Amino acid sequence: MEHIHTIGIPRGLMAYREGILWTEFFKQLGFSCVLSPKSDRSILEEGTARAADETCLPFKMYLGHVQRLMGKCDAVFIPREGGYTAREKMCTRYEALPDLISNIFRDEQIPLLTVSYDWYSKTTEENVYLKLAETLGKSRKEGKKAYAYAKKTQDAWYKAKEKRQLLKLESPGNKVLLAGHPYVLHDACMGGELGKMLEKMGVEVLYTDYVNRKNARKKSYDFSGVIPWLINREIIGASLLLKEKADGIVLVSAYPCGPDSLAGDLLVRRIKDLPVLSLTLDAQNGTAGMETRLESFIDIIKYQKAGGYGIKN
Amino acid sequence: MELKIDDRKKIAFPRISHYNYAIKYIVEQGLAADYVLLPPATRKTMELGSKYSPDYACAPFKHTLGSLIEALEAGADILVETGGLCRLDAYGELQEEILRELGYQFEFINLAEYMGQKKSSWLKLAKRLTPKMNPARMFTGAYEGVKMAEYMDEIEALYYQNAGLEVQPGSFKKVYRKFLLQMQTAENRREIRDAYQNAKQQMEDLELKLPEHTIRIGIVGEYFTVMDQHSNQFLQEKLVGLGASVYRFLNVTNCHFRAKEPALRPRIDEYVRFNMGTTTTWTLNAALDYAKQGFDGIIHVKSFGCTPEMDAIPVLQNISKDYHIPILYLSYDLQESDTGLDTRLEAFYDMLERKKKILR
Repeated sequence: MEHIHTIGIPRGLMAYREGILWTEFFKQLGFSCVLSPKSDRSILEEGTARAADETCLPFKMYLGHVQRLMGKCDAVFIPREGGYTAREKMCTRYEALPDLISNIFRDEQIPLLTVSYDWYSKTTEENVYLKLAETLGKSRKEGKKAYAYAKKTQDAWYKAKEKRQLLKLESPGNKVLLAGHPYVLHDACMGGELGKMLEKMGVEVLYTDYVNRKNARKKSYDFSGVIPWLINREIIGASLLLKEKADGIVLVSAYPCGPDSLAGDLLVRRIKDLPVLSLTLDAQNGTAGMETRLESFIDIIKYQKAGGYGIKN
Repeated sequence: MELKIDDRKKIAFPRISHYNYAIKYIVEQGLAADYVLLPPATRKTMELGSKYSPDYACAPFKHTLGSLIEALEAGADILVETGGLCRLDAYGELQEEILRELGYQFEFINLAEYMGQKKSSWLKLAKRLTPKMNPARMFTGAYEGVKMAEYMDEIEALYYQNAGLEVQPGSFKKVYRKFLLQMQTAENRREIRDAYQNAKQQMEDLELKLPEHTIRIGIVGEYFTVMDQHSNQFLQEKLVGLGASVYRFLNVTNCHFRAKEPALRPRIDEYVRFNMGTTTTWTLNAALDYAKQGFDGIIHVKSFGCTPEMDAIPVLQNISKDYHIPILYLSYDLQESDTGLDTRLEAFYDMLERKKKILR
């Protein structure tokens, strides 16, 4: 693989969780990285044109991002992340990701770079990335160094986010927890708008992925032993950890997310002492409908805080 | 008034195609427990299931929830739900929660909790179901139940492959129905084997009219919907009615007892490098096989929103392009009527027939 100089990273799906790890890793190994631009309508439209009609919104967006990288890089990085343990998997779409992209973009013949792991292959994150360095023609030592640095940078970034969120928790105002997959919450075209709307209404916005994720995962086992998805565990655990501090939860899911359809419903059924708004995003153009629902939700929270529904039990 | 004939607990499992006969056999003969065998699903099953399900849960969730509610109403004490590699893994927990909220009293066994566990925890589970469990009897019962499932799959395949070509209308159906009835009531190995031998022999003796151009259609798709006739609105039966010879690779035998995923994947390596999850490898392998064997068409069946099968579609589209084989994509939710399906199948069949005549 000597001809690879620039590696393209689509700004979608797990890039919102591990993007820094990836870019730093490649940079340390001496490659340059191109990230696709921030999501917008036109990217979604390009992605939708490529996708089978029932696929989920984030995946359509992802296809748009891959499309944008065409001609701008020598290879696109499409990881295959099945999960590391049986109860902390990803949805099956992640297992299929590289094959999906290579089949959908077959005519473009773009070279793919990938890491691949499954919960039954019993491997660790470090091993997975060392293998990647090997396929890129780098030595084990170089790979190890690059991974360690990249991991440290990614963790530091998360630590900073966690810290900032802890400060927010102390603020006296109304606090709403946005619960959902990171790539839905922070995508400019999906959950990003929700955050902005809430801030405009004068509400402190908390995010489930800016809670200490290890603690969240641990907490989620109190809730359920069998839920198989990593991200849903973090959503559930974070919601439970912040239940006392937040005034309401907005459960954000992208249509039609398989894991969210079951795990989200279970969470709504079991959280009885906190207002929960379940929002499903799809490829609608207007945001007025969302705004109305958020406004009325905030009104409910304020009314409850003022004692309008009686004492909170 | 409740009359107690014995104090054994009654076990129930959601309906799935004809496999409940095998499950019944294993429960009754292997575990020496009682089994609640449900009558065929009706529209009411679907309505019950979807009424209490989350909006965009997949159709199998709704079907199985409907089955569980009906089982409770039929007197089941212990409900069993299974786990799997997709959303199926989370079915049990949510279904139990829903049923408890509805106020039913029952014991719930979620096999998802036992998957990947040691054998000893499975044995403990068997002991919980029947305190006076006899391991030898249990293993024999399980073995014979598996054999029964294999026989049923074989006879079913024979039926769908040939019934569309029968000379005397209804002759295959008659044999098949009798065979299923015998499986329902079988109590020992001999009965299973005799019924299978009879059915197979009779089917092979039946007269076929082989037309000049038989239309052969391969069915691929998502595990539950493709196997469960009620979920796919009797798709294969309808195709047989149109005169097609219908093949389906995916059944319990091929999925669990024979073909292994890593063994199948090299056959589709021109399209796929990795395991794409759940049954996608089976789907793609079968589709490619049908394409290479010169089948006239393929029908891809899934429930609405089924992620792994949705991910098979881009690959199927490439197979369709490369081998010039038409593929009809069917996505099922809970439909009220099957008229739409009839129209689509007739149009698809006519197209295949015309294509065959013109190309010759």
